[in-house]
Amino acid sequence: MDIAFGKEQEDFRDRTRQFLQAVLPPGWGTSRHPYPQTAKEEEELGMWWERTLWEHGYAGLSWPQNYGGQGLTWLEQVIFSEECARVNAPVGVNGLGKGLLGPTLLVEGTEAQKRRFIPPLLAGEEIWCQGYSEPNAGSDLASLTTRAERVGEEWVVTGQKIWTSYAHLADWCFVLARTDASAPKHRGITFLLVPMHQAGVKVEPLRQLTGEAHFNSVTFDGARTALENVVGQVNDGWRVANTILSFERGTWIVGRHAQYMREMDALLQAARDLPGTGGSAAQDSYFRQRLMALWSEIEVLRFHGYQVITQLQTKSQLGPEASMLKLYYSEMHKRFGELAMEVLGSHMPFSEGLESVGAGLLHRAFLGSRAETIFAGTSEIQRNVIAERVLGLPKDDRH
Amino acid sequence: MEFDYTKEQYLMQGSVSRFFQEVAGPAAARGCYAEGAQFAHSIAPRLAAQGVLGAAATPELGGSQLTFLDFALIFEAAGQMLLPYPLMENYVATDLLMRFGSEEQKAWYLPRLAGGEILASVAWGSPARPWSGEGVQALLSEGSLRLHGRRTFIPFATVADVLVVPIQSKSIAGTLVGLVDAHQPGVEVMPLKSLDGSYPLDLVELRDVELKPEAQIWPGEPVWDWACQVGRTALALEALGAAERIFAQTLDYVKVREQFGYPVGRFQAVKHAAADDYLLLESARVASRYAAWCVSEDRPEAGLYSALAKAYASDMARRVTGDAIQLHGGTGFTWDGDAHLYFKRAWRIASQLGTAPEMRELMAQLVIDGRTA
Ligand SMILES: Cc1cc2nc3c(=O)[nH]c(=O)nc-3n(C[C@H](O)[C@H](O)[C@H](O)COP(=O)(O)OP(=O)(O)OC[C@H]3O[C@@H](n4cnc5c(N)ncnc54)[C@H](O)[C@@H]3O)c2cc1C
Repeated sequence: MDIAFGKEQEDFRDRTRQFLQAVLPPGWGTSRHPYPQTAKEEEELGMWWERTLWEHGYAGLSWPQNYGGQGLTWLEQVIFSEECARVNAPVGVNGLGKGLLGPTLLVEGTEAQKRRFIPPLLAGEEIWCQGYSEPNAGSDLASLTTRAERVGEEWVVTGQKIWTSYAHLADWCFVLARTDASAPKHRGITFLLVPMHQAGVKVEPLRQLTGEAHFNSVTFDGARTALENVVGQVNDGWRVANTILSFERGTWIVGRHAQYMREMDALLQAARDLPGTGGSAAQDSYFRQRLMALWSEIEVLRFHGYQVITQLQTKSQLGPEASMLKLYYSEMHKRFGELAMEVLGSHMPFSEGLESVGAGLLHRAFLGSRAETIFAGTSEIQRNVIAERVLGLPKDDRH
Repeated sequence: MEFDYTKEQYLMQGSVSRFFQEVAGPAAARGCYAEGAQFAHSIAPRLAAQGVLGAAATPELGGSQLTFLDFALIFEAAGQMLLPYPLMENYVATDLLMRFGSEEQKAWYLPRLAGGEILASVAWGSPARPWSGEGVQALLSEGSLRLHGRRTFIPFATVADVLVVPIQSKSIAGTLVGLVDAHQPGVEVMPLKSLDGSYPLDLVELRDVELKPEAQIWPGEPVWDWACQVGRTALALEALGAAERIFAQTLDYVKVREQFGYPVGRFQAVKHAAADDYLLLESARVASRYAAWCVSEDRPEAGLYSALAKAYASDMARRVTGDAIQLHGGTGFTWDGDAHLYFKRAWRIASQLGTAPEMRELMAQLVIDGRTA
């Protein structure tokens, strides 16, 4: 057992720290910094961040160099995520491209597709969105009804997608569409790449409970895409989509602990400043117990991350146990958000004013965490997957 | 970055597991419930022959010089098989002597501990406060130290030969750890009715017991703190082993037990309970692994992470073993079913060396108050 990173990796960490310090505005990372106030400002910052990472050689760290990646390993990716989380670095707007589409193309894409799509994805020149969910196909995604028909040298796509994050900024959408209505529901689906800037695509914002509108409704009404923009085989899209689901669930957790620990530090500071029964909240035995229980859970997430890294070094991909990690971090973060609000007590209704509440950081965690147990497969679905595919309990064909 | 045990460590666990299945397991645990602590004596020679006793000692002294990491998976296996022997106490006594004992102490005790000739236990008591005056006091009289006081929750004390005891001395102003001969006059052992009959805990009363200089280790506080860290991590690993074993049995059961025309494991309420338990189990696994690494490498944060692992794993084990009873239905409530043996083990472990709330308070002092370990 050796939990330390090697010298090479620690050098990479040092370089990353210097890079982050050099490019982020002075005061960044402290609660005093004037962070973006509107969704628009936040998105502009996100676009700037995508370009900055590319220019400085931090985009696609573990991706092959011949498609514009840096040719490093998972370890560098993890260290980079940790360091970004430590200083609260901006969140880019191409997370779906980098977290989902890119990895899928690297596994399932043709050589031409990799050359065409990956470099502009990494450069932040083409932003991607994920067109899976539909108004009547959420957890039961395979029941989707958006259709694609072959007309001459093109696919013509018709149907409605919903909850499509960043569709309003996206240049391309990776879409699951039904191409064989007579086949069993998992068999007739194709994974298509569809350009967003065309007459047949309509994007309408949907306001989220945070007040912002990062997700949308996307209507395809005779939208077109070239015949070669199919990933994998026609009618094999369900399998292709599932390749990335385990990427999505597994890889997103690595580095997350650093973000949660930063939030925990802010919460501990708030607890020292805010009153509890008989002294500060930090002296209140009820809160001390709960804070340490959550602190432990965040640390355990760090250990899970080490386990993932160890596995990825030999296995290259996670299996259904990735569901466990997704369930773990999302449910934990939800509990963290609730505890944070409890500690704030009578200050809870306000996300401004007190410096110690982390300039809204804790409120963002509180509200934002409610989405984490829904997107990328709800907690209930993750439990089904764990029970059936990891623990081998008898399958129930309702999902 | 290699956050896992080595192949050799897993191989050793495999062979010790097979051995534990023969000497321990639910049937042996029930034997210990019936016979009492005496049962431990009956298996000691075989444990010694297998090389699991005195493991931290050097080969000249009868051991195989295993590190804590080497031994971690054996604690897990002991938990799986409900081993009715104070293995953790044997390990702690051995490693404690290796690290802090004099040459004479090592030469006398270690071969005997490794050979299973003497049974060692540790007077854990209430470890959060062993120096607060409620524990054992040493008085200086006519040049010799005389011990007075009582300690509770001492595993297998009725059959122990040597007790490792934390002692405070007002007359010489200091703390020490004593190697108390359990057969000496003035040592009175009172068996308590133990919930976990496969690991009985007793009370020991010391009345004017002489502690010779060769049985003393000074100063006591760092030695005791170290012992608690090792003990807590070992208990976390045992809790993990116990929970994972009965969890596996429970999964087997819900796959075959049918109601309403289906195996009950097909029902979502059962599935979700199993998925949540699995999540807790795997989390306790990495928590105890990290603590084992800290302890084995003598990391300064070993105190913090052994407390974390102990609290997390014992909370997990209580829940998972309790769910095992529930998911077995009426069978789960029988004496002949195994679930209760694991359930009682989990709860006993949770109560030892500091409860989960005590562990979290200890962590809070380090993390929230910034106290240094
Ligand atoms: C912030 C956010 C961003 C998102 N971004 C995207 C995106 O970019 N692209 C995209 O395609 N989608 C996106 N989604 C959609 C997300 O993937 C779906 O919301 C999710 O899969 C659940 O589907 P649903 O909303 O239809 O809920 P439903 O499936 O209708 O579920 C309702 C409830 O029923 C439960 N349930 C359903 N089936 C079962 C079952 N078999 N067993 C037990 N319980 C069950 C669910 O767990 C849930 O609690 C996003 C969602 C959110 C919240």
